Amino acid sequence: MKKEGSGTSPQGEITKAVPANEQLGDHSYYKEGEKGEIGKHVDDLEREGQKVLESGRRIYDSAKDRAEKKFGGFFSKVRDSMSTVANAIAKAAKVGLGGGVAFGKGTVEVGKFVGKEAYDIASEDWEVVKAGGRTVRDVAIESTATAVAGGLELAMGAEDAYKSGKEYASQKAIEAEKLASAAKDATIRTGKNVAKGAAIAGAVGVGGVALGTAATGAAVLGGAALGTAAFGGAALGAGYLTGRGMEAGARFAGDKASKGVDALNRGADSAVKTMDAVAATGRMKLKDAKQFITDSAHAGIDALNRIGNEGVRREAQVRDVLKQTADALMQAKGELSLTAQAELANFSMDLQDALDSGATMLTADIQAIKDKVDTELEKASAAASHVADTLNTIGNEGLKKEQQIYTMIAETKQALADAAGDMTTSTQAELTNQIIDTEGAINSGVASTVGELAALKAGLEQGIAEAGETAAKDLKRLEADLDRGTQRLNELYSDGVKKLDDYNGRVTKARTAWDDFMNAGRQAKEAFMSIFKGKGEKKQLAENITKAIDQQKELDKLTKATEAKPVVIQQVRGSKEQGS
Amino acid sequence: MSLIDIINSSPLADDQKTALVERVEAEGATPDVVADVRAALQEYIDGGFQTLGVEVDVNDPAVKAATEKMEQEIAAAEADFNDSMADIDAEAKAVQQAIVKDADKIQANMIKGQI
Repeated sequence: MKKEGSGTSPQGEITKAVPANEQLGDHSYYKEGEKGEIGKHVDDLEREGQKVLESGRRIYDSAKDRAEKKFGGFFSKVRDSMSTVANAIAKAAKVGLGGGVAFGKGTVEVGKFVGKEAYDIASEDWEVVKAGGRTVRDVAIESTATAVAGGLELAMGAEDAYKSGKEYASQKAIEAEKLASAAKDATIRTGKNVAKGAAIAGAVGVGGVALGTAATGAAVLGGAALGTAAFGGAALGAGYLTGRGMEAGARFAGDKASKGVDALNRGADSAVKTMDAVAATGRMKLKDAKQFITDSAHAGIDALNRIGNEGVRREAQVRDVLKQTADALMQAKGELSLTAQAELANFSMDLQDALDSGATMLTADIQAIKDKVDTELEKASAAASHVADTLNTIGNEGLKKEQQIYTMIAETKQALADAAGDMTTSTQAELTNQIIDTEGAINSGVASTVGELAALKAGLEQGIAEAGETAAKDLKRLEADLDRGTQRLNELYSDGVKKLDDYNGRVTKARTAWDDFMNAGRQAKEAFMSIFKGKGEKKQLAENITKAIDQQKELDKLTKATEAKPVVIQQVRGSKEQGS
Repeated sequence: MSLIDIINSSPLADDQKTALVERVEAEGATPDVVADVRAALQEYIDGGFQTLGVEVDVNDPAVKAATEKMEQEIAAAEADFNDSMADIDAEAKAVQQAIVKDADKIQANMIKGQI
């Protein structure tokens, strides 16, 4: 407690104790013709408040820009939250500023209105405000009592009240800060509470002032200038308190804005750090990735080597299989072709042998038949000749005998004629008759024999002629049949040869098409051109392969031209002699 | 280009060329000779590719299709050939039997005539 008549003003400067009425005059809002000290102070506070508000806006805008730049849509909620918080802060600052200004003007009604406004604003947390109000009220009562006790005591009481109010405001600020911290932590939902807490923080001073004003009113009712002085003191203290509250509110606002910005900055820093951490992690991951890639590359190379080795091994196997397959295929083709050729060759040989042996047999048989026929004909002819000779001999002998008989008859007749004179007529007649009978008998026998022989000869000759004619006809027909059969067999043989040619042609064509396809496939391989070009012997070999393939195409042209040639048909008969 | 020109300008071995040219000169450019020349060239090509390690993927669908086509064509040709040869063989036997029968008949008549 300080001595009466001296003390420390709220601004901290040593003041001389003055009477309460002078205090009232010195501290009135209006001095005649100009603003009083409070008015100036209020103006200063208002400017400071405006600065704080502008600063808060700039901070908010800056924070918003930074937030938008740094985080964009990702922190839109944070931005909205900050916007809400900043608005609440600005509103709180405005309320605090408005309350301070109103009270600074010394208008009780305005103070009441502001108090009511603050009350309304703080109604949702009235218990807190009420407790604070009671505290302030108690302080105000105490300060009022002190003011009643004495001027400086009053001022000191006001100072105490200020201190208490300051502590209260500080406490509220701490609470608000906690709320703000909670709001910060709880984002949007708690952001509203932060705004509310900020409003409360601003209202506390005002509400406290209002209560203080009520207390002042009570003091006024208590009468006397001291009451007024007390009011003045209280007003001053409360005003100061309010100013402080406003300052505190402004500080709080600024502080909250600053904290918000700090939080934002921390958030940003945290985000940056997070990003840096992410980047670092990324770098680490990059490093890890590099290591991983390196390891993977090594593993991949090892795997490739394994695969390559396996591939080489498999390739060798595949080549073996391919070779075996190709060999088997070629062998199968060869066997197929050989089988077919062998079959045809066998058939051809069989056919030819059959034809040859058949022809030989037929020729022999026919010749034998011919020989037999000739033999028989010769025999018949010989027999006929013999018969004829015999007949001739017989005939000649007969003629000779006949001549001899006729001679003998003539000689007998002559002898008879010569002896006629010596013979009796009867004897002559008898001899004549006897001669006639003998001549008749001879003539008759000769005629009969000659006739029979002629008939026999004619019959033989006819039989021989008929037999020869039949045999000749049969032989002729047999030869014709043999010729037709031989011709047909020749045709069949030619057909067989043609079929074999067709078969070989089709097999060759299919195989040629397959070879061409395989050649083209192998020739098309890039490795064929890329590996072997410009590499000595292999290059030469690759070129020779290409040349051989080209020559095959030339051969195909010749093959087509050859296919148009007619098939040469060989005669079966005598083909062995021709060496076919 | 004549067949002899093709043979002489081929990458085949000299003894092969000589043998093939002699065949052409003796037999002419018959299908058999042309086929043999082609086979010799193909053998050279196959050996060359094998030496160079150039093979066709046997599992390639196109290779499988080509191989299958070739096998089908050869099988069809063989079937047709066998059918045709069976017909020819049957007819040849029939003709031969008919001729022998005729000969026997004539011989029988001759014997009968002798009797």
